Amino acid sequence: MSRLFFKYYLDTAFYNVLFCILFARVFNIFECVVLFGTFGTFVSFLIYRQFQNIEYYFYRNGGLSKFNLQAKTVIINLSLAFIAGCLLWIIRYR
Amino acid sequence: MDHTLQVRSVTHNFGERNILSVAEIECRTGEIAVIFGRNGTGKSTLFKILFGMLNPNQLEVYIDGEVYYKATALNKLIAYHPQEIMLPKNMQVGDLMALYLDKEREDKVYHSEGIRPIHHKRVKNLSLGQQRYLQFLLVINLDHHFVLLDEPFSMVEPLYKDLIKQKLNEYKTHKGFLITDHYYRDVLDVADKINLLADGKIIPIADPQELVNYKYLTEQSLT
Repeated sequence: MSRLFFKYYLDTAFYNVLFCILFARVFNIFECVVLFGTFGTFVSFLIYRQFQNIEYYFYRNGGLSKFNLQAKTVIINLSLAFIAGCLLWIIRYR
Repeated sequence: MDHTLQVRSVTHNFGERNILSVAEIECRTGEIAVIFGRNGTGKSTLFKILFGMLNPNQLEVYIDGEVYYKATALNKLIAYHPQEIMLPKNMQVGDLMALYLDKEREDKVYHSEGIRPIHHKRVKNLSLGQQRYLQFLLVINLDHHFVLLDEPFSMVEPLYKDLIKQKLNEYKTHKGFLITDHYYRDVLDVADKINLLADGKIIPIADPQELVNYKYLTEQSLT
C-alpha cells in the first residue's frame, strides 16, 4: 500500500469513523462494524467529495485515479469489518 | 529523449451544447505551447479531458506516434496543475514533498528559492501565492513528459512569477508544457507557440498582434 494511498485512506476513514460514532447510540457495536465496512464507506466518499474533492487531482498526478482510490478503500474497509466482525463474534460466543 | 504530444481531435458536449471541437494542438519536449481564450471557451475543460478527469465524446491523442482514445491511459504521461489548490491543506510542506516525490526530486524542490522558510509550515498556513508556487514546483517535478498548467501566474506575486518563468525555461529541456492563463504578458514571455481557443476551435497564432484581430486583446493591451 503506497504512502500516497494511505493518506487518502486515513482521510476517508476519519469521516467513516465519525459517521459510525454518530450512529453508535442507535446501533450495537457489531452493527457499527458492519456500517463501517459498507454504508459508512460510501458516506465517507460523499463527505470527502464535499470537502476535499479537488484533492483527487493531487492523487491522479501521483498516479492514483479516483476509481483506484475508492476501490482499494472499499476492499480494505470490507476486510477490516469482516475481521473485526469475526473477532467480536468469537469474543461473544466462545 | 524528446517526446511529442499531438491532440488531433477532442469533442465535448454539455447536454446539447457543443463546448469543444478542438483539432490539432502539438507540443514537444523543449516547447511551451500556450492556449489563450476568453472565459468559458473551454480551456480548462480541454485540460481536464487530457488529464482524464472528464470524459469527452471523442478523443484522439498521439504521444510519440502512439494513439490514445481514452485519456485515462495518459495518466502516467501528462501531469496537471489546476487553477485551484489541490494540495492537502493539513499537511506540512516537508511531509507533502516526501509523500509526493522521490528523494532526488524532493531535494531539488527543497533547494528551490522560497521553499526552505516554509518547509515546516502547514499548507493551510501559507499564503495563496505560496501555495500556488509550491503546487507548481511539485507538479513540474513529477515524472511526466508533459505538464498542463492552468493559470500558473494568477494570484502569484511578481517575485514568484519570475521564479516560475525561470523554472519553465529550465524544465523545458526535458518536458513539454501546455499553458493557459489570462496574464498574457507573463505567458508571452515564455511562450514558444501560441494558440487561441475560440468557438470551440484552436487557431494557431503566429504574431501576438493577431490576438487583437481575434478580439482576445485590445490594441492598448499590447502597447
